Amino acid sequence: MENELENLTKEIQDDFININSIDELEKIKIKYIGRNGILAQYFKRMKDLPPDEKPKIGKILNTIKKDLEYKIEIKSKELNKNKQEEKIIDISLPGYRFLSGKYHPLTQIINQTKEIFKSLNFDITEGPEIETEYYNFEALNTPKYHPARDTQSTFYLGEETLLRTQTSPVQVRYMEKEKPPIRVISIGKCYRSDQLDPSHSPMFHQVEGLMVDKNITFGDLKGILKIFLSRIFEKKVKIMLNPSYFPFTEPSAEVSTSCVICEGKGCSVCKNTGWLEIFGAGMVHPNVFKSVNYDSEKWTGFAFGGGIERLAMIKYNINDIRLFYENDIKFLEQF
Amino acid sequence: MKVTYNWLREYIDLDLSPEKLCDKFNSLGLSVSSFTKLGNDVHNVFVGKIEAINPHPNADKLVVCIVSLGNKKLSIVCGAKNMNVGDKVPVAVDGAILPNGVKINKVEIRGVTSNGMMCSGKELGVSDDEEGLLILPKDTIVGKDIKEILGLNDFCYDLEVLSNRPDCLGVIGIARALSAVLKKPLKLPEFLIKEDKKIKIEEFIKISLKAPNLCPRYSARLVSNVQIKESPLWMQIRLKNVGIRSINNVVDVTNYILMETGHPLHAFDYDLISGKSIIIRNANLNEEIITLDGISRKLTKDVLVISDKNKAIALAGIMGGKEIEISSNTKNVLLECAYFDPINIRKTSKMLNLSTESSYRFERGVDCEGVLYSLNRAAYLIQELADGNIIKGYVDLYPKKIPPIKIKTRYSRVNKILGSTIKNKEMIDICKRLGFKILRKDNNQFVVQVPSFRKGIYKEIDIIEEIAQIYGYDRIKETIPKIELKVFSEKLSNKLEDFIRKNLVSKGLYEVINFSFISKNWFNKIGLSKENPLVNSLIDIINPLSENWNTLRTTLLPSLLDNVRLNVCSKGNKNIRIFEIGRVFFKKENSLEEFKTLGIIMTGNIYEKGWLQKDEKISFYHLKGVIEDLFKNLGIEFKVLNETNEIFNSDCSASIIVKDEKVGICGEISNKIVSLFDIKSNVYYSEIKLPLIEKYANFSKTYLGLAKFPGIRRDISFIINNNISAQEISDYLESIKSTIIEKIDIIDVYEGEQIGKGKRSLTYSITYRSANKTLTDEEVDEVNDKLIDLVSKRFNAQIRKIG
Repeated sequence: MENELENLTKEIQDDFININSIDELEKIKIKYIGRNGILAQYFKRMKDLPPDEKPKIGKILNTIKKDLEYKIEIKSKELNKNKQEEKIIDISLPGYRFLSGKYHPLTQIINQTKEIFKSLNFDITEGPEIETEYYNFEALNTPKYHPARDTQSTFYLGEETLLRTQTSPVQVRYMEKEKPPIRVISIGKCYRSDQLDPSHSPMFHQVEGLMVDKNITFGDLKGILKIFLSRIFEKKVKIMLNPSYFPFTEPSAEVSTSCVICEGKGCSVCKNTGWLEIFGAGMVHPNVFKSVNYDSEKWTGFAFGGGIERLAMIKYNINDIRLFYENDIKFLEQF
Repeated sequence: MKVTYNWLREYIDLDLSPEKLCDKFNSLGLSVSSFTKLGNDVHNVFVGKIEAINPHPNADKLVVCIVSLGNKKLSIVCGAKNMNVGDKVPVAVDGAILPNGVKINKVEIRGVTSNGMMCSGKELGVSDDEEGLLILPKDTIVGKDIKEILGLNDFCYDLEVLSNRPDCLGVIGIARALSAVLKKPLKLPEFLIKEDKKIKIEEFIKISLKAPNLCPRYSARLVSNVQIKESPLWMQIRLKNVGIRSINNVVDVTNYILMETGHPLHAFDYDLISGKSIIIRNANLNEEIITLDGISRKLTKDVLVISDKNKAIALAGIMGGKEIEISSNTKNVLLECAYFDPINIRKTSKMLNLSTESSYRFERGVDCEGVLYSLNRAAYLIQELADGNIIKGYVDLYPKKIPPIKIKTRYSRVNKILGSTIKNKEMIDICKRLGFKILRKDNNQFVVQVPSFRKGIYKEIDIIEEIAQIYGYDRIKETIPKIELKVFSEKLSNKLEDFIRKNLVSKGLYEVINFSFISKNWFNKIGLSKENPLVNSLIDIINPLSENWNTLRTTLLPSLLDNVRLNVCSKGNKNIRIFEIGRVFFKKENSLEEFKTLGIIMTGNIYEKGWLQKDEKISFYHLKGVIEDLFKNLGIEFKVLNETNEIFNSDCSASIIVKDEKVGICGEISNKIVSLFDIKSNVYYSEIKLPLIEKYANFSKTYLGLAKFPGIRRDISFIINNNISAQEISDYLESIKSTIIEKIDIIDVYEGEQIGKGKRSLTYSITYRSANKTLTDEEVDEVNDKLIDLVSKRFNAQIRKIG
């Protein structure tokens, strides 16, 4: 019986935790100390106990009863007090304000880009921001004194070291390490010594993609870009490729998407052309394959690259690139 | 490169509208950066003939002219002096509009009604001449719209010419590119040179080519007895329409040819060439030349100059010398047309920081075989416009003919690369239209000879690009790659970074992104010593954009502190919780190092004021809580240890330690630094090096099961001396080996008079649980009492048992 009473004490404790109203308290009262309550039944069983145990058990039962009555009194006071102070709930008052943070809008675009290419089974890699002349230019078929270097005004850190002007060097580094077939994207910061203004920034982010396999074609490049651009803008876009020139791809193309704002009808964002220039792209130049010892007769591939800022500005209707680096909380909280 | 619709039409029949032509340009890779209708800002201006010039009754300096517009006569008050009766001039009538939005109305000028205005070249925006009226050629038809006369009924395209297409840096080249895609023939201008047969050019000038590597070809002609004067109006306007200022007839001709054929020419005043000899040679070290722009330039041996007997008279292919330029006194003109080595021109242009229309073209490569055509065309135009006599013959030094490039192309390869189904015949046809000569062909392949005006075409892939461009990128179908299976796994560093961002954002922090460059002066400003590794490892940018961005950051603090300053001081955002993941850069003994770092900065209140939110100031413990939660979720155990740091206040400065390795720092930014940036509130900062925690992070999850038996809690308060850290006690508690201690939490910290000065009370809540059974109070108390005993002895603590 002693063990039973120990359990009873626990049961009472547990029951009390769950009491929230006078009614519930009343039920518990009846359950334990009502005329036919649990304690009354124990008292009845007393007569069947061996005489030497009777005083001990009686004492325990009385303690439990006293304790219980005290608890009921306290609880009753507490509940009545609550009742008096209970306020009217004004459901129109604003709720508790929890903290919420935000990813930087560029990170959001970067993450979406990664997700899309992961779903297309691309690998994701990164490369250094401090680069050598070799990886940033020469291995990309852009020797010294090549006029194409004019469009990429470069920050130099030393004779042969610079801040990468594009993510394309990562292509070369990745191909040096990996054997074909290749499918990879790389996203990161790039630097060009352009003065900061609403549409230029000396630091910006690029996404670079590379696919190399036995039968990769220019048509495949168009296909992958269409999927990516449709997914990132969450619209079925048309794409247009116009001839362009990058030393490390050939044929090279400037990739435009039908304007996602006016759907091609013409607006201020697309300067009434109906098209938005987004990416540079092309088939990997055999000289680049040569610099990483790939056999360009066996392997073909495409590469593309473009600015994350540009994607973000179009998608979120941002008209000044400087906002990304000013980091005004009121700007950041809008995304 | 600017070109107008009408100019193009001289070389190719265009049945496309000016607007549609834009699309064609784009599809050729000649991206149209602007398309303007010329003369859009000129209305109601007509050709008028001055029939009478009468004095103004009330003003000495004004006259009243009677001007005929053919169908009517107008009386116009005028202040100009340069006109005569019979002259034809532009007349802006009542209601006319001139460039810059100037409106012309009928007005009364000193008592006389003026029914319009006669215009100067400047007023019409066709020249800089504002001195007098624009006198039109005598044969101009009266009454015609001036836009027609001045070539303003035209459209101007500003084209971005790709660096591998220097052939499109001339109007003829653009017409040629269009002709390939539009399937229209190219019409080259035809002209006839009338040479003065008396004396041969060799008797006037001796030209020696001393540097044939840098100047593979040099040709010249001499035009004598020229009359230097203004160019005819059509020439002035044509140049003006493509952005070139008219100078005089001879200089204008060289510029006209530059725009027409894309080949830069130079005109020397023959009489100023000393020794009547031209030497094409390397400059002497420190040789000086004053170029046309009036700047004296010191040369090196790598620079190619055109020299006379005594000294350099031109920087080859870049700019002529001042002394020998064409002036109003020039009588005889030596015309130069050459082919210079592109790389040498580019090197010189870079070295001298001097880029011109001429160097721009030479460094991209002009047509070596087109030298004589351009030379003759220029001589012809000078003969026409400046009444010169072309001296018999020409000089053409071309010692080593540049061999044409021949390329073999496989039909199958074209379609393999493009994913297209272009027919063999169409490929051949496209090459022919582009000016490639088909040397051989069979069923599998064909061999072409690349025309001399095309640059950068050496390989089969270049021919494939040519075919693709003319065939049309838009005709190649979008496909999905057929590829081999390959499986990738996400890199740990990537995973870590994404995880951290997610964790911090979920806790209410905002992510920021800052420039990687900062000002070297920042470290000076906050007073960091030069020996501090943050300072002595800085990597400087050799050519920074400004002093504010002259070095690469070794810490994220300058940027993040600046974000706080901007938000708090100028944007009115007082409560800041932000973080950044970015690279920091260090100069090591033999290398430059870069790695990613996490920076967290917080200041102000944790919440914006709200009816349920009390003013809870952000403290060190908020920052530490952020780090704790992050590390906990990364499965990393860490400690913070007091460590002084120049950037933190000494009483709140710590290092973050994982397994005896310092992975980062945290603390309160020193009052000195904070006040330097005008920030009034306390700022808390932490920086953690990601590569150092990457190896400890654990992303693998395993289910551990749930507790089967109830736990028992005991709360204990220890009153201890202030100098004992909570960490010491926690460490000690954890060192006590007991299998039933599940976790130990600090639930209260109290300092106050009740427990005495120099003391504080730490209340711990200890949860006991066994994996095998329900614990009894006795079992728990046994351990709990032992624990209390050990702690009180070890730390001389007073105990307050609670429950």
